[in-house]
Parts: sequence; structure tokens; C-alpha cells
Amino acid sequence: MRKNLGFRYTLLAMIVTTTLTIIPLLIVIFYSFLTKNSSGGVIYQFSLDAYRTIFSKEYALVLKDTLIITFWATSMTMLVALPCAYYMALSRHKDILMMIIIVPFWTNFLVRIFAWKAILEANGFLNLILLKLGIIDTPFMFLYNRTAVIVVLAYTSLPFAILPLYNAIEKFDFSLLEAARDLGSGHMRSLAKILIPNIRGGIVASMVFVAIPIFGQYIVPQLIGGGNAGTFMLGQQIANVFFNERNWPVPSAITTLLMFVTLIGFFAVRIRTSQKNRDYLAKNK
Amino acid sequence: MKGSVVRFENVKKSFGDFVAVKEANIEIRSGEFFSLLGPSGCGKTTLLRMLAGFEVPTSGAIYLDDVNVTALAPDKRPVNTVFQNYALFPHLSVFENVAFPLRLQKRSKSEINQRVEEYLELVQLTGKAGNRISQLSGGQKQRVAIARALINEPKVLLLDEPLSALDAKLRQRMLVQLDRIHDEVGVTFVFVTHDQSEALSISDRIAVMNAGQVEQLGEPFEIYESPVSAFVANFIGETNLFTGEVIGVEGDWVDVRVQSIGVLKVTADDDIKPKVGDTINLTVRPEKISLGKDKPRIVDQKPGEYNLFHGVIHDMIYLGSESKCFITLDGSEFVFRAIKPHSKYLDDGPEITWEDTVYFWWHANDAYIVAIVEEASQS
Repeated sequence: MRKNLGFRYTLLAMIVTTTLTIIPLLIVIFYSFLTKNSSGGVIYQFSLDAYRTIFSKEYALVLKDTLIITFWATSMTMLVALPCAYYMALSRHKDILMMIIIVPFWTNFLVRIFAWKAILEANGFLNLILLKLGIIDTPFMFLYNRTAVIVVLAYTSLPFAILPLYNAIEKFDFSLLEAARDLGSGHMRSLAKILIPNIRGGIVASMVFVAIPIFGQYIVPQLIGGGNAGTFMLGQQIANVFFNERNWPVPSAITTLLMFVTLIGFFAVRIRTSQKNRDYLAKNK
Repeated sequence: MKGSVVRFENVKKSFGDFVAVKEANIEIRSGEFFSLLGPSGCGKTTLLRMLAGFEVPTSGAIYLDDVNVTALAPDKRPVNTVFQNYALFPHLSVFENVAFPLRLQKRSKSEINQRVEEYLELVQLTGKAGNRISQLSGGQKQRVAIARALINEPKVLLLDEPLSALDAKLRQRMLVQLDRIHDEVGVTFVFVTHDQSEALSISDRIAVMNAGQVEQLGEPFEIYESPVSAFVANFIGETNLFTGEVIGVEGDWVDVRVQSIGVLKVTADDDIKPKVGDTINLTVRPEKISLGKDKPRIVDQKPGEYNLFHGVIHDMIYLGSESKCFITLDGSEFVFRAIKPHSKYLDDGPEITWEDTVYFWWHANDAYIVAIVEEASQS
């Protein structure tokens, strides 16, 4: 048998990953347990102050708003992305549609956010149209509220949701839908009972790709929310504490906590899946 | 007499410029095993899909039990399909696949359990209920698809080339199974295939299709023994096909002059009565042609009843139970196909092999007039 050389080939990549991600993460965890230095940086003295700070009502409220915004923005993204991806997968002009999705993302992120500001402003594009059509009499301020933040977050996330969904739907065997119709199921019911379960992997991937970056967003709530009530997210809190209060341990503690919550969730899913497989194998021995 | 369960009336279907089905008028009798047979692109699958409801005819009407279902959605029709690629739901177990139609109808748990078990038994898959689809072999998937399509008790079961993905041996076994299932459930089966041997072996009646049209509709025996067109004669089994001019008619006996071969004797049946001067197609199946190294005595015993020729075997294909011979006629380029059975040891005459010169002959009754291609010009 030939020797597996995989280890040697990946050695370089492993060294790079270790030094550039794992070591900084360990530094973050380390810093979260140190005392803050009032001029920035840390004093090398053990302290749980950072954790005491984040387990407070103030932080709980920020976390709550962040979760609500993440939930609605992710839901909205998925609701728009699913029909888009379905249409794209069935279209004869897949390549063109794909370009239409991707090309805007070659322009600068910040520029696109400012474009949204230009649309939503009091004397912006949307108000202009609504006034001209006579739907409203006085300009309405669409900016600086939670809905605006959610809409713009959904906009920025769309391609990351559409691409995995498109991949999954393109691989889906559409004769299964015909079979479902043939066996007496209506069109919408066939989609719900046959299409959705069979592209579950793509849906989960989309939600992960969308929800995690939204959860840590900083620019969109900062520019579109304008610091108004209900728009303030954890990412802004981290930036505030870091830059304004020059407190390093607190953001480190937030990051450490979130990392552990994510890891626990990940392993819980893993254990459940392997348990299911074991049960299944035991049943069909 | 059994009535018709399916009726195609002047059904036509085109996709853009392409005419898939030119004009179909077919009646399928209740309870029969009906085959749509033809080469790929002949329109047989389109016909089936229109019956299932996946395509709407461009014109014409389809009746199911005398109800016009032409524009009815697939989920509203009492027909079910076994798909070519099975189209089993990969996220569901064997049991849930078969139970799918019943779950849609919100049947009680006990009824679902009982009926799924019954149908899994019918297709001999008891004990596989908990399996995932990916754990099944091709033949087993096939049977799950059949059980799933039958559990709704459809009026007609449609089978879209269901055996094409299986290997030759399994195909034989599945054919036997299909036949048994058809006998047991008594549902009308409509079977689409491009494989003439499948169709011949299992069908009650066959519609042979070509280029969007039904060329011939009849029992397997009729279609094999008395094809109505050169296409059917060629498509169903191998054959020797000739075109020639009638030079003499005496009762049922017809003499036909075929270019570069000579005069062939053939007997006409009741359907086709050629006259002197007509141009006709005639055919003789390879298995009807005998061959031997010596001149056969029977030809002299019944003079004028046999066609006798002499030629060289230029190719021979060993097929196990028989050999197929390609014989070039002396003084001509024409190649006859003949089947030589491998006889038993004691019966064997001198062995015939490649490059031997042989006599070959057939009785006039074994040839068959396919069609009159061109009537004699009236003088």
C-alpha cells in the first residue's frame, strides 16, 4: 500500500492556521481573565472583573436586541433567498442570474451601505418616489430604526444564502416532485414535504453563513441604526468598550463566552447525530 | 366484454416546432398489460406523461373510464407512475415511501400499517420496511416504486421504462415479477419500453410507435408474425426485408421479382391481395431460413413451394443456443440473415462454419407480405 502523504502536504497549512488563528484566540481567552489597564492593554494580574461586567443587565439587553435582529434578518434573508435560488436553479439563464447576484458584491461594502442610506434618507430616493406617487404627504424617516437595520442586513447577506441554496436545489432530483404530484400531493405540499427535506443541508448551511456574520455585525447597525434604541448590537458594544473605555478584558470575555456557547451547540448537534446513527444501526442489525 | 379504461382521441403534442406525438388514437382495455414500444424519441414517453398529467396535449382528448381528464392535474388522476429512475424519496424510509400516498389522505395509523405491509408483501420486500432507500439494490428500489405506485389502488399503473436501469438477468426476474403482480392486483398496466423482447414477452397488446405515430397495434404474435410496415418488421426482431415487383399471382401464391436476388415465392394472407405489377415489401424472419451443405430433398419433393438459394457464410455470430449467420448470395451483394440452431449431437449433419458454401431455403408460407408499397399503374 502507498504511504499516505497527506500529513506532510498539510503541515505548512497546519502551522499557518495554528499561529494565525489558534494562538490569537488563546491570547483572547487569556486576556479575558486579566485586569484592565486604564490606558489600554492589560495588567498581568488574574481578575474576573470582565466576566462580572458582562453578566449584567446592560449586556443582557444588548444581547437580546442582537438576537432579535439576527433572528429577523436571517428569517427575512431565507424567505427571499429560497424562491430566488429555486428560480435560478430552474432557469435557462443561470449564468446571467448568478452574475446579477454576485456583481454588486464586487463593489465596496461601505459604499453599498451608504447607497442604502441614500435610498432610505428623509430626502432620499424612496421618499422621493412615495411623495411623487402621492402615497405620503410628508417625508418619512426610514433610517435609524430596527426595521431598516434588519432590511439592510438581509440585503448584505442575500448572496451568502442564495449560493448554498442554489447548489442544493440544483442537485435536487426534480422527478421527485413529479412523483409526489403523481401520488396525490398538491404543488405547495410537494415543495414542503419533498423539496425542503431534501435540501435541508443547503438550508442549514445558508442559515449558518447568514446568522453568524449578522450576529457579529458592526457597520450596518452603526450606520443604519445610528445608535437608536433597539438597533444597538453586540459588535458595537465591543467596539465601544474597546475604543472608548480602552478596556481589553471585557471584549475578550464576550468573545470567549460566545465561542464556548457555539462550541457547546456544535458538539450537542454532533452527539445527537451520532446517537441517532447508533440507534438506527442497532435497530437494523 | 371488458370496456376500455383509457382512450386517447386524436391526441397531438408538440414542443415548439418538434412534433412529439402526431396523432394518437389508442384504446386500452380494462385489466390488460399494454405496452408502448418504440425507439427513443418516438413519442411513447410523451404519451405516457400526458396520461399521467405531466404534459397537456396540444390538441385532442384523453379519457379515463369515460371521464375527460385531458387538463386534470396529476394529483387529481386515478393513475400512478413507476418512474424510470424510481424517484423514491431519499429522506424517507422504505415504509414511509410506500405510506406517502396514504399519509396525504390522513388515513388512520392502523390502516396505514396494515396496507403498507400488504403491499410490501406483494413486492416481496417484507422486512425491508425500516431500511433507507440508499441501502437498497436496484431491483429492490424498483419494487418499492411499484408498491408505492400501487398502494393508492390506481385505475391504471404507468411504467416508464422501469427495467432499463437493471442488468440483463435481473431484468428477466423483474419481468416475471411484474407479470405476477399484474395477475395479482388486476390493475391495467401501461408499460413503456424500447426493448422489443420485454414487450413481446409480457404484453397482452403492444402499440409499436415510430416518429410520433402508432405504426401497429396488436397482440405480440400478430406484431411479430405479421408486421404491417417495414419499420415494424425491422424493429421487432431481426428480419430479411425485400422490395420487389409482383410478376405472377396464382391463388394465394405470389411470385415477386427482387432486384439482384431473383424471383421469390410468397403466400398472401387474407388482408393483403397483391396484383401483378404491384411493388410490395415482404419479409422472412432469420429463424425461418434453414441451411445445409447438401441440397435439401424436400425442395424437390414439393416443387414450387420453396425458395432455395446458394451462398457463402461470410460471418457467423455464436449466441449460445444458436448461431446467427450472414450469408452472401452467389453472384450478388445481398446478405441474408439466418439463425442456425445448435442441434443435438446425433442429429448433427456436417458441421457448418465460417466461409462454408451452403444451400439455404424457406417455405413460401414462412415469408410474409408486409405491405403494398406501390399499386400497379392502371393501363
